[in-house]
Amino acid sequence: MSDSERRERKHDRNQRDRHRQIREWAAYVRSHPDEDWGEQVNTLVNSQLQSARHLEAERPDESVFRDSPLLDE
Amino acid sequence: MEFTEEGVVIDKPPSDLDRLILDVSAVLDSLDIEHAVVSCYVAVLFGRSRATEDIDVITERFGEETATALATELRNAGYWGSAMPLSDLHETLRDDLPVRIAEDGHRVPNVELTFATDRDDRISLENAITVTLDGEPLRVGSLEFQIAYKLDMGAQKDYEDALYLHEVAGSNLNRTALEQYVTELGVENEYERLRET
Repeated sequence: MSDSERRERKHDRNQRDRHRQIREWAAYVRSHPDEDWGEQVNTLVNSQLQSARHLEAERPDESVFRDSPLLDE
Repeated sequence: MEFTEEGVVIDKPPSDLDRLILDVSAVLDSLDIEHAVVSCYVAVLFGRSRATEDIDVITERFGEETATALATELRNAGYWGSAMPLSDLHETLRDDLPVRIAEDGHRVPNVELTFATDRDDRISLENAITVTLDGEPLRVGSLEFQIAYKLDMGAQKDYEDALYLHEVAGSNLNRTALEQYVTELGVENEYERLRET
């Protein structure tokens, strides 16, 4: 088996795992009270936003990029 | 999560992301501006555990007077234009560019407001459903169209959003409408793959 075939198989396996996890989480959401899954989703969303806010001062302003030749339309 | 004739009821405390869109949506409602939340936040609202900082909102076109009132109400509610001043709101939207609205002084999270510009946007507006989150209403583009649209976008994260919405809504989806959107957007193969996943 070539390296590229190995990489492709690994990619396919990872993708199948991700899809299985998504289906399982959807089943959990369907079958549990909103408060239960809501708390878990809120924890993830709020912590990601806190992290992004912590770093937002370091982000360049959008206007810096607007006229960049590196950007497509 | 309860699917009813009137829409969907989600009885969880709002996250910081939910709080932002509930507030902005209430301002839009107070000015009778028709709008619909679309794209990746819809999956997060329905419980997908993934990170996002932007909430896409499509609105009907409105004039300068309404835009001025909207800018004033947003400022009064503690929001600003994080990429350009709210005083440029109408000019920006009229040029079919997005206006980013965030809590005063911050850039994330933000609501990205755009005028409806094409048929896809109009479908989202015209077929929006009401999601009641913790007792507060939110207009959201139809799940059937969100799924087909996400399949059309093609990136892995979009496919996964479509898969999640398809799984979580399950038998509550209107199959006829979904298959019609799938055909219209030419994503029959992707839809078949989603059903087989």
